[in-house]
Amino acid sequence: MSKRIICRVLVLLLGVVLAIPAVVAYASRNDTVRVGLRFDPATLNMLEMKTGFEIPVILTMNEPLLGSDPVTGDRIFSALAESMQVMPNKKDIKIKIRKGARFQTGDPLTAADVKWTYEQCVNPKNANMMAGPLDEIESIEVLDDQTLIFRFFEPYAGWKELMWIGICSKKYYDSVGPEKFRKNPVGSGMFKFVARKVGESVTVTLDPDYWGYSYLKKEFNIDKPNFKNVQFVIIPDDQTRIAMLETGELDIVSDILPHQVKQLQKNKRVKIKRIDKVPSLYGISHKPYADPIMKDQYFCYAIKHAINRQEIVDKVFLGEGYPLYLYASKTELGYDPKIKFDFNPQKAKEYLKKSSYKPGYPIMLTYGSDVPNASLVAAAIQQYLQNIGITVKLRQLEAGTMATYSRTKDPRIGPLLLFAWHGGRDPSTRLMLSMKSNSPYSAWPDRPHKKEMDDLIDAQARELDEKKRAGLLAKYHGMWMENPSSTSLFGLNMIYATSDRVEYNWAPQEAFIFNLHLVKIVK
Amino acid sequence: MQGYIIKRIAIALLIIYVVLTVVFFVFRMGGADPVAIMLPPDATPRDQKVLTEKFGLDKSLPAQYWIFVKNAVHGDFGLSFKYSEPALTVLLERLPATIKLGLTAFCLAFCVGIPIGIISAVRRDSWIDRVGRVMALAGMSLPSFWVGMMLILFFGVSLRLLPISGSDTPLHYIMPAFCMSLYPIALFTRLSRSAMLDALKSEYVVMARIKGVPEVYVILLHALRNASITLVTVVFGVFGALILGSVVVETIFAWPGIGRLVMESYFGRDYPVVQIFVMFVTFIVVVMNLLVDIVYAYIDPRIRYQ
Amino acid sequence: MFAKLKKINGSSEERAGRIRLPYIGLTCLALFFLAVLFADFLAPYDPFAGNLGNQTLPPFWQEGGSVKNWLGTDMLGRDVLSRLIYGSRMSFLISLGCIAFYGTIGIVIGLISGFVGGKTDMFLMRLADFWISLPAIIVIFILASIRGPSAETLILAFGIMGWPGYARIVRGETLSLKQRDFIRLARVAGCGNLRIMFSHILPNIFNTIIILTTIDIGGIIVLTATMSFLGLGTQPPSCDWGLMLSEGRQYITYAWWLVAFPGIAIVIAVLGFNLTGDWIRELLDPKQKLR
Repeated sequence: MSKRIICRVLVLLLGVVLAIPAVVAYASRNDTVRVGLRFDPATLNMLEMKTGFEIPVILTMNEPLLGSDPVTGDRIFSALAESMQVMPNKKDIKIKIRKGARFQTGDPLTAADVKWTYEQCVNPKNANMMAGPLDEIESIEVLDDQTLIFRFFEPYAGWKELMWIGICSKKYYDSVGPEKFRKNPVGSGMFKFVARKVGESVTVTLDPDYWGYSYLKKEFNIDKPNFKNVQFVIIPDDQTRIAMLETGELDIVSDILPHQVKQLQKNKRVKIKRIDKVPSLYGISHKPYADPIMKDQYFCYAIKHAINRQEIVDKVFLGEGYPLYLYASKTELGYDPKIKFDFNPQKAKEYLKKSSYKPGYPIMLTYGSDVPNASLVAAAIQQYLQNIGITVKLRQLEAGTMATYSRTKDPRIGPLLLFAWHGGRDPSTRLMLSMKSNSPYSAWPDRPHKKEMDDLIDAQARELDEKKRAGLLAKYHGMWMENPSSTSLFGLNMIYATSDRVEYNWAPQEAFIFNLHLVKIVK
Repeated sequence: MQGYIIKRIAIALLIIYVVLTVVFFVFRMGGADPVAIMLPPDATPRDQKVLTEKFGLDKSLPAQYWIFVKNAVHGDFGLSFKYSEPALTVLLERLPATIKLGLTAFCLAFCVGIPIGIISAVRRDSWIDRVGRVMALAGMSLPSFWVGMMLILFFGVSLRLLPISGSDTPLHYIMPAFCMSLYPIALFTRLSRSAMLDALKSEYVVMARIKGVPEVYVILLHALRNASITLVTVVFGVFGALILGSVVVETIFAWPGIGRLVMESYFGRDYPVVQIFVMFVTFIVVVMNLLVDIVYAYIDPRIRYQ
Repeated sequence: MFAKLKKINGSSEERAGRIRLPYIGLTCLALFFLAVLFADFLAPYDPFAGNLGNQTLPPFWQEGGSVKNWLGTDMLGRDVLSRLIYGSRMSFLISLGCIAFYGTIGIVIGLISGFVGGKTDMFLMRLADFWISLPAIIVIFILASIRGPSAETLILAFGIMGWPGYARIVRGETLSLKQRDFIRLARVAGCGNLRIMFSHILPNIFNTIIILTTIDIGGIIVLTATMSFLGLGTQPPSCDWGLMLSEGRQYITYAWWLVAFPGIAIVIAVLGFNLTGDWIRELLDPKQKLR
């Protein structure tokens, strides 16, 4: 029995000992902003960036050429580039880098580093996610340490969307080699890399010697942050991430599901915010190679009119979004709120009658987990289509299999595929990749009017004048809607929340957490 | 004796080799193309080709197998598709977190389950026996993932007593370790109780009692020593439960260990990491079996000459 | 994990005092089998048909709930009670499938091992020792990678992994039966080995098999639910309890009943099997040969 008493005493002692580090850890949190991330960044090496999930972390350390305006989200000169100028031939962009820019190692950042970084990003060995879009650049010419020219093959309207790549130091890479470069990234940004615990967290700390504090204050009235560290904490589970925000273990959490808002609202220590000007596009992709019926335009019209987009937004996403009728989301050029068509089951039924669809023929709708509430959206669509007489079968496909099927045009993917596009601000990349008939990802290479549509896609990409470009895009949309190769469904608001000790506003037009140097600790 | 050990080691190596081969073919033949997942949607076919070559996926299956075996002998199990680092490194980086949690859970189970089991056996039908029996039943019947969710909801969100995720401070260990030890506690309680009951009835104990040895010594020295042989086997058998537990618990509590890693890798089709996980677990099982064999052989000479 | 049996001790008098009907266990079990057998009659709605207009209705006693949906509805407006009732079938079939699969393998191996003896016996039992220490989850990872996660994959995986428990016990039983007179008589009468194994020994270890099955089934229900929860088991829109839990988890703070009820259902089923299993063992195995 005395053994048990000893046990009790031991447990008590243990409790006290356990409590001390917890208190210490809590105290050290005061000058750290903790950001919850869903995915572990695959790499912290800008040159090998694989997915968008790495962007928020890497760009705190590696400064890009262009920054983004905290109010409008437009690309502005709040970063390395002092000026950019489209040359008269419309194909060349002359870029001037700010004087005094330097890496965290102390070495100056020169035009040669920019050139080198961009070249590494297209190097297939690095499998960088930007390699595709960057193929538009023919060459980069260094004029002097501060100036360089990007030469494009053709005038390229989306050139500003290539300017967010974080610049790396060639000298550092050469001196430490690829292994260390990967493990211990160095950039010219406001934050320095401290430590990474794979699968757990990445910590960066404010660089007191950052070169740009004075110009940021002078030109953009941006103060030095009033905190020391940013810690990105990786919490894959949505529910756990939210719970940690509630307990104050995290300061900023994004991609909150509408259902979680109600619970969060009860918590006075959490501030919930939302923004609709973020890239967000959800729809159903048609796969004619899986089932020729998808080539039938009347069948596609029937689908178009059968789905009550507003109800999906209201019921499945509790109103946190907007119905989408065209192939561009709110942040993209070409978005036009006036274009919409009515939800009209009667009309849909008439179209269905005109089509070659035979009642009872099963149509497979595939969905993955990349769409929030995917199973709900899929089931809702199943209901709408069944209401007009289309038999729909649902199937959830695991992400990897789905990616393989769509890349290899495997008919097993099924005629309808629920997709998500978190892409950027410019529709060009997506149009060129998924719509142009010669692209390997085009689901319908032999579509009607393919020549005209291809030409339109090219023409809009070459058109630097925004108004003319919008006109071309509108024309394109018209043709696309005549023979739809996908059905847009909705866009979603970005719901994010912060603890009450920090002040942060989402950068418009960004799909990921951005502008973390603008975070203020208020308590 | 030496011959026996060499034979055992040879068998162990053979098993590892067979598992290696099975795992290789299984992961190469099945399912999705890993390159498709790694590349962003706007990657060009050229990127795809280069990446395929980088990971050697363009060669024929036998050629891939030969390279795989050759590399495996040198401890190289391929690059993780996601992290572009050796899969073994990725696994080893996450291993300490799992070991810490697993050991905590194991110690908890050991320190709670075995004493309760022993006391239950000594004082049968006392309140502690009843508590022990209910606990064992609960541990066997409650799904640990559900318990974990409820714990988060109750202690984390409602009461705010315990941190929900992370592994920085000892406080972080409480919920995951408890959750992970549920099943082992039940197992230990049940088995130590029955082993102890057996031992208490054995002739040694009866003899000791007749000789007038004090009850405390009877229990601690005689009965426990005899029961411990059974217990050693059980401790060994709990390994599987702990591996499963680590996968479940690490997923729920976002614990940065190998359980979560393997789940993420499985869903991300990062074959080399899943592969290394399977091989690693098998390797440990084989080594543990080997050790037990050798230890038994020392204890019990009859085995050697079989 | 499989066929972990505790040894019940005690003299016959002690035992007689303790064997009483496991009322709680039997009630749980009755509930479970009622659901399994009469799902079509009991379930008020189609478990797969949803209606977004009715989404996340709370259980009837809460504000906003109604007796139309006793236990509320899920995010798709599907009736939770109906899904739970049909889910019992899913659980039962999967666990029965697993047990039938590895039970058969285990029995055959146990019979051979015990009956043939010698080197074969040694090899098989060493294999069993090794096999039992391999965590089943690695086989699930492997199989799910080739076949994709599904109920069949689960059955296959547990089927491959589960046999050693059965094999060991059946072997023990076979060894002791082999010495008995009726086996010798059968041999004298000219029965072949196979015939003796399957028509003389097998029927005599039937009790043992029943006990093993009852005890195992609870554990298998938990395991398969866990796998479905992790995404390695049944896939949507199935109404497996583990899957319901993992789907409902996202909405845990929004609709608690999506998580609470499937959890309770699992606990009821498992408690039922575990309690009853213990009882059956005490009843049918008075000498506690099983351990």
